[in-house]
Amino acid sequence: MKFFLIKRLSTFAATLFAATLLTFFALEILPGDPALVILGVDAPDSAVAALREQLGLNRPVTERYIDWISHFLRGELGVSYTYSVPVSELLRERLAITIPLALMAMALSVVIAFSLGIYAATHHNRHGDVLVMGVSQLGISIPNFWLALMLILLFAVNLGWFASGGFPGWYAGWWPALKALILPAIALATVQGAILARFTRSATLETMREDYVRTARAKGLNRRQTLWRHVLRNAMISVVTVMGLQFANLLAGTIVVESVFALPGIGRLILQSIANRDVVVVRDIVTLLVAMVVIINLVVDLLYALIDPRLRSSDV
Amino acid sequence: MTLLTVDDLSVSLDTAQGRAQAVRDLSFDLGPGDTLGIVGESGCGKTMSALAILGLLPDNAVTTGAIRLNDRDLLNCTEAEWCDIRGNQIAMIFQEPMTSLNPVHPIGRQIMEGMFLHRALSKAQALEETIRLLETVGIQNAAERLKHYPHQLSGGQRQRVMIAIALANQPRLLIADEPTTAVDVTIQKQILGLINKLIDEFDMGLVLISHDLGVIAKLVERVIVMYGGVAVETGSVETIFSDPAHPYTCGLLSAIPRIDRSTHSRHKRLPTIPGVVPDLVDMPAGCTFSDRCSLATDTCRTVPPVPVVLSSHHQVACYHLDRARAQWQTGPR
Repeated sequence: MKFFLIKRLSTFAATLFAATLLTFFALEILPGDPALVILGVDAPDSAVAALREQLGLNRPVTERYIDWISHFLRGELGVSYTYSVPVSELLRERLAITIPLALMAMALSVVIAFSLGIYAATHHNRHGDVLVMGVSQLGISIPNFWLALMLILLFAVNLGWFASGGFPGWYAGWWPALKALILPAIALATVQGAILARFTRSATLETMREDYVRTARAKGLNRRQTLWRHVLRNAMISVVTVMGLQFANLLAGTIVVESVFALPGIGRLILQSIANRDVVVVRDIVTLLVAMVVIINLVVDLLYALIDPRLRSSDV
Repeated sequence: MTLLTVDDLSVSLDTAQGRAQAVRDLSFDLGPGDTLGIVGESGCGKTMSALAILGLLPDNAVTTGAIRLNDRDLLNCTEAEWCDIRGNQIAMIFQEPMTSLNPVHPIGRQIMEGMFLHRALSKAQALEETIRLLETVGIQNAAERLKHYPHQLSGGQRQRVMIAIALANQPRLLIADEPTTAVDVTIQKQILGLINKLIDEFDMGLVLISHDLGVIAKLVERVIVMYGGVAVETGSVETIFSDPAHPYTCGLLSAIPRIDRSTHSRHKRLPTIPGVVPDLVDMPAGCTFSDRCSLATDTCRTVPPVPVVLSSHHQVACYHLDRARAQWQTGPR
């Protein structure tokens, strides 16, 4: 277990390091001078040069990388070119929208996936299974931005149950705030849930064919008991993997969905920052997002060990 | 009084290729404490017969005939009644000890699970009984071992745990499906010895399924030789080994390598039965063995032979059993 942890933690650190290198240098070779963006294309050369000096853009690349990363590790994020406020300040309000949104979407997709996937597996090749597979195929095929628009049309415009977009802020009370996140969460969760439902179904079906499931039935357990005690925990091993991978997709999805619902979250911030060539904000947020994805996958790895005792033993 | 009666049992499976006749008109009975072996090549219907007795056939299986346990008709049981019988009155040991235990639960829990299902036991009682059971099947440090997971045990130990699971509720009937095929020879000997001992100790009926005549000879009194889903020869173990009458049984027996035989005919190859097991979907119309039998005539290929009673414990389904016996007596032995 100790060895397992050390191995996972070192992979975690290496992935993060590689991600910072990639983000930093990719933004470096991107066309577009931040100084020009700030001052406008008509600004005199002297002013641009002075600003470049002030922003430290004249210093060598490696020096600036080391400078950035050492500050980043101490939790000191940069100052946005466009907003002239610390990135950490920008992040605080926006994370308060994106993280609850991502968690809601994840929870929703897991609920959808498990109930549909397990139902389909236990009704293999019967009508219910065929229906679930058809619906999930549809769910996978629908682009989330289109679904978002349809949800707005139906629930906001026609039925008037929800607002069509925007966010009242958490100080408005938890229910209005949560309510503003429901439609975006559904738009995000549908695709993820549909994919996960198919994985849950196939993993459950595969596990139901295992020899130890027959052993369980031979003991006298009925189908339901066998499913809950012997099938699901083993099936979860592969389902949890997919869940971890999906989290990255989910964060990418927030960029689109937040734009459609006009939610001032991380997704919208990053989109605006890219448009504004606000390199400082972009690289800090991208690095943070990478960290979130990598942490989730670390959690997934630890979950494995919790589910599967074979990974806990010292010889793995 | 009989413990188990199987009467004209037929099992067919609906597959994409058509209906596969896995077992055809199998009949036998078994008294309490009796031992019966079912022998044959893979795909001859051995395992399907066993799963039918346990009510665990796949969903696409159709069963006809009758299976009675203590005069109770099992084929008309509801699923809830089956669950009450399985693991309680009938228990089964499977072929693959490596995959037959759930990898995510400790073995103690897997043994106790069956006890809690069929009996009202306290946790302490179940624990105590599990330790005793593990010791009975020859696992040392039982109190410590029961916390272990399957991957921490060797193949032989896992098969012992499987036996402990089967014995958890002292069943009246034990079905062992190739219990020693997946373990090496020394372990095989220990496991067979253990089953033999436990059959006496717990006074259970045993149905042993194997392709290995050596294993059959060690454990059982009576043998059914199956081929293509049909019982081609039935008899006491002595009769089958010394006086086989069906060409298939003769073929099986001469395919056993023997040290004394190879010494004076060194250049001779080990005899084999030519051909392969017939496709269950496309069985010969007559005798299932006719495709591979050197004695087969047109009648064999078109009309299935009816079992002939040779003695009180010996039945053979063959038109040419006299020629087969003559050939066996003068054969290369």
